[in-house]
This record gives sequence, C-alpha cells and structure tokens, in this order.
Amino acid sequence: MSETAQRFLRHRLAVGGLALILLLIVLALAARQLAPHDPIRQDLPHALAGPSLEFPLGTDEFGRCILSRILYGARLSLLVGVIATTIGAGAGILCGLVAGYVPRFDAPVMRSMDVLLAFPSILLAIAVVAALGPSLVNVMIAVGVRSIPSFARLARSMVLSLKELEFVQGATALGASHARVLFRHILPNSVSPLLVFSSMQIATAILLAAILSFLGLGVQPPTPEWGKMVSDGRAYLMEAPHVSLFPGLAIFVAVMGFNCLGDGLRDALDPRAGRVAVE
Amino acid sequence: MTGYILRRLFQTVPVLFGVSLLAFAIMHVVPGDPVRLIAGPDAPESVVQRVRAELGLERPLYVQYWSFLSRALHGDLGRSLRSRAPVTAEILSRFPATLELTTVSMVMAVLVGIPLGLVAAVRRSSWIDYAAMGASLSSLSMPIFWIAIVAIWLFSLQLGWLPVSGRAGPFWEWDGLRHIVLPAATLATTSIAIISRLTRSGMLDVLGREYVTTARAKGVPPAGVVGKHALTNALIPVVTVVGLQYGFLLGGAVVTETIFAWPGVGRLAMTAILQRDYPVVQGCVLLVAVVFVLVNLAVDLLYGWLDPRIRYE
Repeated sequence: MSETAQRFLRHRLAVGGLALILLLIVLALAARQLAPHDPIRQDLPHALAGPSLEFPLGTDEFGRCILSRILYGARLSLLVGVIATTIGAGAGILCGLVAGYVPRFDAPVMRSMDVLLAFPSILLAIAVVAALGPSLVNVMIAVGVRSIPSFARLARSMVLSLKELEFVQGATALGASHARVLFRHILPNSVSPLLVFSSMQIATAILLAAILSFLGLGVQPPTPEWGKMVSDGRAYLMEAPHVSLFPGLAIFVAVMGFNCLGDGLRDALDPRAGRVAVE
Repeated sequence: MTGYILRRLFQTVPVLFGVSLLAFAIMHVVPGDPVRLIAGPDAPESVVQRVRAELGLERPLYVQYWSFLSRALHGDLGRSLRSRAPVTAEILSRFPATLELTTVSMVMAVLVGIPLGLVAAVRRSSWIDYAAMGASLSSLSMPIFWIAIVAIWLFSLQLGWLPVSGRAGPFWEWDGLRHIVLPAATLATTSIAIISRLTRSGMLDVLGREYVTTARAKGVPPAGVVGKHALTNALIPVVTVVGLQYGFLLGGAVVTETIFAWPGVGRLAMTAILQRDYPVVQGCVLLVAVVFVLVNLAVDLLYGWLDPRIRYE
C-alpha cells in the first residue's frame, strides 16, 4: 500500500468522512429500492405524522414520507455539489493556469477574480440565480461561479511555484509547447492541493445550494430537496419539528463527510501541512 | 508604512471599478425589459418610451455607466421601483440594524472562539481539545438556516426564553437585547468555529517556538507564557480572519436576517431580489461589495502594522 494511502487510512476522521460519503452515494443510487414510499405522492390523512414504523422519519404537511424524500434528495444534493464544483474548478483552474503562466494576463485575470471575491458568496449566488431564474441548472452555475476565484488563486499559486522548477524549465528548453508544459507538466503536479480543495468545495457547494433552495431560489416543488424541505417545515415547527429537523441533519451529515474527507486528504497528500489545523 | 498604504490603496481602485461595473450590469442582464417591469405589463408604448427616456436607457451603454458611476459617487443610487423612495435612504435606514447584528455577533465569536481555541491548544489531545474541535467542525458543517430553526424551536417555542423574530430597539435596552441574542448567536456559530480553529493552530505553532521555550526556561509562569508570549503572536492571523469575517457578515447576513425578520440590509436585498426591485438590488450589491473591499483594505493595513514583514514583501 502506498505511503499516501497509509497516511489517509491512519486519519480516523478522514476514513469516517469517506465512509459517510460512500454510504450517501449508495443510499442515493438505491433510493428507488430503499425508499419505503413514493417521495412525491401526497397522503393528506397522514399529514405531519411523527416517526412510526410505517413512516420512520414521519411525514410532511402533505403526508409525504420524509425518509423517502431525504433518500431521493441525496441524489440532488450530491449531484449539485459535484457539478457546481466541477464548473468552478474547470473555469477557475483554467484562469489560474493562464494567469500564472502568461505574465501579461496575470493582472487582468486576477483583478477580475478580486472583483468576484468582493461579493460575499451567498449574495453573489443569490444575485446570479435571481438574474438567471430559479432552477437546478442555474443553482449549479451560481454555486460554481462563486468558487471560480478561489480555484483560480490556488491554481495560479501552483503555477508560479512549479514553473521555476527544473523539470518544467527542462521541458521548456527541450521545446515543449506552452500547452504541453501547462497540461502535461504543471497541472498533474498541482493535482494534490486541487483535489483537497475540491472536496472541501463540494461541502460548501452542498451548503450553498441548500441555502438557495431554502430561500426559494433553487429546485422547485415537488422535487425533494433538503434545503427546501427544511424551509417547508418552518411553518410547522411547533407541532411537527421533525419536518425540518431530519432534512437538516441530512445536509449536516453530507457536508461533514466532505469536510472530514478534505481534512484527511490534505494530511495524506501534503504531510508538510501538518495536522495542527485539521484535528 | 506610507508606501505600503499607498500601494494597497492603489490596488483597491481597479477592484472598486470592477465592482461598480458588475453592479451596473445587474440592470442589463436580467431577463426581460426592466422598463416594462417599471412601467407595468399593460402600460401603453408611449409610457414605456417615456420611462425609458427618464431612466436614460436609450443612451449608449458607456454613457449610461458613466452617469450611473457619477451619480453613485454623489450618493444617488436611484429610486426603489416599489416604494419610490431613494435607494440610498432605504439602505441607510437599515444599515444600523445590520451593523448592530454583525458587531454583537463578532463580539460573541471573539469572546467564545479565542478562549476555546486557547484551551484546546494548551490542553492538546485532551477531551476538551477533542470536544472543542469536534464542535467547531460540526458547526462548520451545519447550514446556518438549520441552526437558526433549531435555535428558534428550542429557545423560543419550547423554552419560551427568547422572542422568535424581529428587532425591538438597540441591544443595550432589555427588549432589544432579548431580540438580538438568537440571530447574533446563530450568525456567530461559523465565526466561532473558524476563530477557535485558527487560534488553536496558531497557538500550537507558537508554543513550539524557541522564544517560548526560552521564556519557560527563564521561569516565566505558565499563564505568562501563554498569555503574553504565545497568545499575542498567535493572534495575528486571527485578527485578519476576524476582520474578514466582519466584512463578510456585514453583507452576508442575508439568511439570518431573513429567518429572524431582522430589518437589515441583507433582508432588504433579499426582498428586493424576490420583488425584482433592481435599483435596490444594485444599491445593496454595490454597498456590500464596497464595504467588503474597504474592510479587506483596513485588515491588510492592520496586518501590515502588526507584522512588519508583510509591508516589505
């Protein structure tokens, strides 16, 4: 087993995080088989019922099974987290690579990133969704746009440190094209920090997407989405707190899983970072 | 130091320019014709044309931008489409509430976060350390709206200790204080987690340094080593984060203000977005970003003052 894998497996929190994520993925994929009820079908006589054998996590105001909705909602949250992060990583890494590698693009690209960073992430995401209209795709775009500057900064700093190293200068001296130097030599050597950062960004993306749905700017009803489920339960806090409580717990578990995984990956891939900041 | 201040001020100018450009763009990227929205869906063409001319929307974009910028620099951000009141007045009337909420929440975060991180570092690998860091990692993973809802359910609906929402005067009055506790504590949870983690890692780093060992060897009592030699140095990065969090919360309290019906800028922005009141959205976005940039600048300058190495980079 490689040293990296051993370091990762020694990090109990990271293994726990990975286990949580794998469990969530399995639950999301097998939602159809595992869900005891149809997540959209209304059953008004059972509205706001507490946890029972028939409805293990109770029902919402339309009598829909909360457990089934959480299981189906897992698909959406994981999908939004991964796709939004991919959008942010794709655009951000490209900007960062160009800014770091081509000096004359550095100032304009990074100042544009500074402008995006000047907007608090929630407000930026809300403004983007408000401009594009509430939908799942627009939530992914809004959440992805928010992470572009952070990915760009990280990628740029990697390029700046790597391009001075001998193996990169050697490749340039041997006549390798700029694209080859960037994508065959610099990018592969930047994978570790980008991977660590991505796993933490997935956690943030899931949180932010839940916030947008909570505010009514995300996925529209009756599609089960965790943030929206918490929001819908607000009106029944007094008589049925479980309607908000369980979907919120689901968000917490998913985000916690990715945060722990990110911490563990950081320790495993970059032992110099030490454990101080992550324990 | 003067050169450093001038350099940082100079770097802020293009960012503020970009921010103003983005805020200006809001009115032009929204789907549909904003003039139709202002004039009403059934307005006759003549009214639509008149409103367009009044807003100057028939002019070239760069002329419109210049006009927007010069008006904004004079404090004129246009009028709300809903209330017809000046946007600047709408924002200024709500800013004290946001400032109050943010300040109280940051004070809470500092008062809880720094001691928590300190104890966790001094008692490293003890149950206190694990509990403190477990709690901070957990609160970083919780959606803020959920924390707010659980807090309302527990402290307002079940125990009846605190009001559910709203603002009732300044926090130094009893009723005002009762109203601000829940939203401020909710808002503080993330900051507490970040500050305590950073204090802990800073302290662990500093406690291993030679000058701390020297202080111990010279017989400085443990409280003196931790409080004077270690904490003052470990807190430098914490100051940065506190400043950044403060700037972030001044504009980022959208969710907390919405849930607790706190009459601040965040709630104003959210309501304006939902009502498509674009001049207000534009004004809020501009204000929030400018405040954020200026707080960042202040933090950088403070950091340069606290740690002279930064100035010479």
